[in-house]
Amino acid sequence: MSWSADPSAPSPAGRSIENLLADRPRRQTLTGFDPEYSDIVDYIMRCTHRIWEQKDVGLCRSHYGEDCLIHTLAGPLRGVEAVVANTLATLAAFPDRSLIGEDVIWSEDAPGLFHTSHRIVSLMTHLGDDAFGPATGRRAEVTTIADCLVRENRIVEEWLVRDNAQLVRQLGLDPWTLARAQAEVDKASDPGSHAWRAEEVERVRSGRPLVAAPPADHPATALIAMLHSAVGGSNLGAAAKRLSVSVEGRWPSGRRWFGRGGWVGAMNQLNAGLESPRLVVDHWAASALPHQDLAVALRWSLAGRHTRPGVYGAPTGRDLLVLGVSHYKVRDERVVEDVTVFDELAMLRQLAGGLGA
Amino acid sequence: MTVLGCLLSGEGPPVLQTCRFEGLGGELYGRAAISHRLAELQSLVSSPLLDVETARMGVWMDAEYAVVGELVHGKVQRLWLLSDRVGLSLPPTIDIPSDPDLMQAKWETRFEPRDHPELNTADAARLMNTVDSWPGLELGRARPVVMRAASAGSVLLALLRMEGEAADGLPVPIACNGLIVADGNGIERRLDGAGLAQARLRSWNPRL
Repeated sequence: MSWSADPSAPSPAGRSIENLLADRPRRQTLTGFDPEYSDIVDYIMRCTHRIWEQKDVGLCRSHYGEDCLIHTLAGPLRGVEAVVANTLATLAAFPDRSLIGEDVIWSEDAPGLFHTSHRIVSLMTHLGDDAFGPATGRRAEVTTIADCLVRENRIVEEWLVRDNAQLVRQLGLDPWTLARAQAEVDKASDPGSHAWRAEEVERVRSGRPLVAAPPADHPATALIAMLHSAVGGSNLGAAAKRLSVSVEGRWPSGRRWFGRGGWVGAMNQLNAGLESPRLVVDHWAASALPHQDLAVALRWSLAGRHTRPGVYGAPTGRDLLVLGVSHYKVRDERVVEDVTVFDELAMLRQLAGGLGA
Repeated sequence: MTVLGCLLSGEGPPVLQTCRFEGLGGELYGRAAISHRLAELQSLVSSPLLDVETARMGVWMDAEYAVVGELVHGKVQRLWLLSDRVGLSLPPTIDIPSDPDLMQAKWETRFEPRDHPELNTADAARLMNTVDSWPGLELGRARPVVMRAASAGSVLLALLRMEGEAADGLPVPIACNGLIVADGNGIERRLDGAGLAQARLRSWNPRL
């Protein structure tokens, strides 16, 4: 993995949708990719537009591996036909869903094997019945980050985090009510279907990330140290010195904070209810932004036992697993913006005894 | 004409599709929603008292409205409207218990010039002297955060997040945006009264 300052695949940040979707010749080596894609950022932005907004959902069959694996905190999904079915189901409920790509932070992890971290804001109207219940007619704005492993025009593995609790609240629904209902369904299902969660909790507890640490001079190194210092080391103030004093953060469920103290508060709100919380960073990448800023993406997993009251209510004694992705804007070696996404609906579902918890 | 000047006169390219708008007591996201509000605003604004921009930041203001833009390659990435006009509501939010000071309370302004490459040294010092006093501010224990700052010729521009506590009742945290513009003729301070009004209506909610 390397820091992709490569200008042949520029960030979508600061570019109009007209510019992003304009045809252009290949400008990055993309072996085995369809000819219409000029670079890996273009591949992600354009195929998302074609699949979701142009409704050519069948393109998933040429853009996902037949046996692809999609990781979400609500459980894994396998196979391209499941991707097609889920996309169609989402469009049946939210037919006007637009996926506005804010950034694609990418790396080439091995020759021809790309990793992309795609931050999306979706604007949509809940016009069809779905797993959330009957159509509410409400509009919603929800942030998603999709981390994709891509080879030869196909996404072969994906880690998807969506701010589902905020989506549910914008639909006028209660996240706890929905999470408890989901948990009851989980309790009635085959316990083996939730083994993945126990395995993930064990992996995180034993400190086994999916990737090796970056080299010391990589921009992600300091930010990984920041998260470890805050979560494992509990030295929140020291960790926060990697941030600008006026850093701005957007976290799930409408959380918005400013300054180092704001970040400390957000981290502590997430962790203080957990016994022995442990965090591992499972992917890292960096790419260039306009104005000589830098974007760093970290995908992380957090596990701990819910033993104290706090933002998620009274302690449940259950193990909690969190899958999160943080996108940092870095200026002069310090973070000036932090957009972090994790799925709190799936967290509540665990605390209600679902997903095998 | 500046980018913001074009926007407010109904000319020029639209905002970016990723643009985020804060103002009127709430937030909007995306080109369509923001363009709709800007079209309404066009009929309300009068001749500008100030209309300046740098590569990263633009400020337009008349007697009643102030608009701040974050610019990327001449396109608008973010917009802040500061006025007393309420027209939006805040999205659902989880509040975060936090200590803005990280020291025995000094209520310092959170500002480091290195975060603002377009701010010259003299204006950085001037900003520190300016931001520490805000006459008539209806916030207790105000702790400003300098979000954006730039020197546009002889004009100092600074967009602030004014964090503080409700001045009456329980001292719960509330915040709104503020703007400082200073030049040889003096200092102009604007507070987003709509944002402050909506913040006051919210109850503190640190739970999901």
